[in-house]
Amino acid sequence: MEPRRCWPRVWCVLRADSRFRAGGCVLCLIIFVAAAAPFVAFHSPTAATPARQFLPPGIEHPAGTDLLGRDVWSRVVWGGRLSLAAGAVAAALTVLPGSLLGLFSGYVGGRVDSFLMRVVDMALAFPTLLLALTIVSVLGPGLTSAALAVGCAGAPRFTRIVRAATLSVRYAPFIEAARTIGCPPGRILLRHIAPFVLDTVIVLASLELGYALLNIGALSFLGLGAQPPAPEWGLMLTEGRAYLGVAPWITAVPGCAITLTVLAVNLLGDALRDALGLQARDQGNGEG
Amino acid sequence: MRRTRGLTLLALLAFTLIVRFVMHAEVVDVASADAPLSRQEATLLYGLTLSPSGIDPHVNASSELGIPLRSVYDTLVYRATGSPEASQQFVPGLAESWEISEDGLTYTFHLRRDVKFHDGTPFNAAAVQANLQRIVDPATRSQKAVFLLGPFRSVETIDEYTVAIHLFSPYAPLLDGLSQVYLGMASPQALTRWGVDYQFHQVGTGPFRFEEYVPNDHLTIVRNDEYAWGPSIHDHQGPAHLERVVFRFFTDPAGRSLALQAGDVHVMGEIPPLDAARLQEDEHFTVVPVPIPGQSLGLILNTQRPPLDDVRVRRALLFATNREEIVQAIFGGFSPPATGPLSSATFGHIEMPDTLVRFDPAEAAQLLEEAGYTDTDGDGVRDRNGQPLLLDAVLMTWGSLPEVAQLLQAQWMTVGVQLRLRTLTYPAALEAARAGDYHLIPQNYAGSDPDLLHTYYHSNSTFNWTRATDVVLDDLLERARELGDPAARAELYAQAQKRIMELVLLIPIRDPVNLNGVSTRVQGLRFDAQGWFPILHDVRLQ
Repeated sequence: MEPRRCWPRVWCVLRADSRFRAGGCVLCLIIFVAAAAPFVAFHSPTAATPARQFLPPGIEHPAGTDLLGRDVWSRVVWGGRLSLAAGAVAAALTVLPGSLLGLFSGYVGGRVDSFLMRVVDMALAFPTLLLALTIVSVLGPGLTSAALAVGCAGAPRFTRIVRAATLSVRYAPFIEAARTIGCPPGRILLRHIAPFVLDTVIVLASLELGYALLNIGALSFLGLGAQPPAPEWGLMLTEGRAYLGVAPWITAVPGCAITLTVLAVNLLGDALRDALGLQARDQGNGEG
Repeated sequence: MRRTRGLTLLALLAFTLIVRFVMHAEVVDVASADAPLSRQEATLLYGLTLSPSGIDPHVNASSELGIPLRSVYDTLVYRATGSPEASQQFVPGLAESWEISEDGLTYTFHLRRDVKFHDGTPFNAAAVQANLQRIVDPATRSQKAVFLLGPFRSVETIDEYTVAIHLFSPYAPLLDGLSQVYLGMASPQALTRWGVDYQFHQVGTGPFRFEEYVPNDHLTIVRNDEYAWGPSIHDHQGPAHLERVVFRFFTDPAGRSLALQAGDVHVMGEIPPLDAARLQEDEHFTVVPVPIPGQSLGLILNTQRPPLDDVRVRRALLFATNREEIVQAIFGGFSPPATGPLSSATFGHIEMPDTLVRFDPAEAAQLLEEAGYTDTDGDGVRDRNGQPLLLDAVLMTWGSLPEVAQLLQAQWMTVGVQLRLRTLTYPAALEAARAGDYHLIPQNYAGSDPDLLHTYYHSNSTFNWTRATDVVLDDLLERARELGDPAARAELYAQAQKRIMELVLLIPIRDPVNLNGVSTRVQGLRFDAQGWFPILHDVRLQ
């Protein structure tokens, strides 16, 4: 019951942290706008009206229009749903299987652990985005496969980190004690080890969301993620880049949306990490 | 704390990188190019738009390779330049004259006697024989040249300067093939010496010598001072005006007009239409639109896959397509709307009558009703027996296809047809084409002879992505390629084009037009009958 008492304390530390407040506010705002899309976007995100091509930002179209006369603001708002959801799914796909596998591998040890870690080593030899590219070319292009690919590509990294965290408590006296009194392995894992790993997971998961958003955006940018006419942020960057000289707002607005979201998520994650006192443990998460 | 900042910066950095990639990919490329330009005045810098996988004209097929190499090689004959009708004439090149036998099976060429390859080897009948034998050798794996030879049987050396080509069956487009850079005459000595590495050491007889090719970076050609055997399509005889031409690659469309305006190149191909409109207002540049003969740019319909096996559905799609709107919105009027399978710069092209091709959404809706498609569930998409009218389009990223398809999506939605888009890389799209895994797929090949219809619409052809088997069409295409008389051929091709649109085998969108951005310092730039290839021999730089 010890860990639970420290949670309000964490909250107090967090509340005083300006990064947490800034990141939290921005992220909440973005999520709120995306959720309220039908009420804040007055045009269809996909209906093409070529007669309204490349209108600059104004009262009717707050962020201008694109080549096909679609309202960029509406596309960014509706696209928020797609991009955030895909990012969340990818992050969940990284975190859940990655953590479970890491816990299992660290606890069981021995040959199983060696085998799993060699597999993870192989996966880690590829940069995350390259691995995701490979997976998505097998699955075929699409937002779902992009989320799946980014999620799967991140999982090995997570496995490695959670395994390390598991190993650090695996041989602690209280685990030995639990085993001695006949606690079943499942209970030891979930009841005694998991709480110690949980804080690592929470912090890294928040950062993972940022990476996932970026990587999915990158895949869409390369034409392997969301397919037209979906208003996904990365795809909007691609569509607009040919017209940077004529209509910079088509690229700038979704670009800012990606930057702001990732920035907010990272600020949150950093604040969480400091609050949970985890700086020393963040060894394996150096690339994105 | 330091690592913390690093991470927050990472997000910013990533975005900056994306933008940098977008805007400056080309600039980085060109910065390194400034060094070797001591002889800047006589050096033309030419921007290519795609980095070819290989540049051996006998082996590879891209148009990009022909832009530099057209000036390295001469061909036996040349196509006259000018209108599609004028360019049906062929003028002497390396062959001074030629005869075609009565049965159309033997072409005899009398060669020039004063020609030398860049490496000093004399040009003669043996050289022609060596070239043609290399092209038809299966080990060469020719992707284009061998097809230009059609039903090629053999090549025969009659004397040192006379050579005959024998065919299995009459083949009217043979001279067209022989006029193309893909059948350019290479030094037999160099071919033997370099083997598979020949593409890096090319030796021809043309007005420029091949100097250096560094893939993805540059290709340099320098003047051949001994050149004195130019065809009559050149404005002047003797050596070229330019001393050297350096070709560089600009694969990202967004950077092309910027590179031109920054002075990184003097000529740039395939400028995006909206950038071209902007460039026209700059007094230092002109926009030279060159219509490309060959296929019009459109979407091929898979006639084997339901619901497109019903001609009424196909015609409904054609009538629901507002080509003027697409062309105006996406190409700013630079690329005329197409009505049939051939672009209007192609010999034999006809304008389709209104009865076959027009924008008529009411008629489209009527046709869909007749085919049994109605919107029973009120979701805006027609359905039949519970199956929604959903079509699957495979796209590639060239030619503004994603934008075109999104407008099509909007236009077809108004008649209750839903279009799903899949953007694939070229190899993946070819795979989908082979498997028949598409309702619509883009196809666009350039070619100066209407016989290309045989390649893309004859039921025996592997490139017939329409998958249609029509005996009337097959017969027209087979007869047309065997006829010698241009007028009679044109008549057959007119019927073939109409037949293709009666069957609605494709949704034509527009004529391909290469928008070249040219610095006003460049004088005398013209393009040959193929459209893609500049005649660099006559170009001056001021």
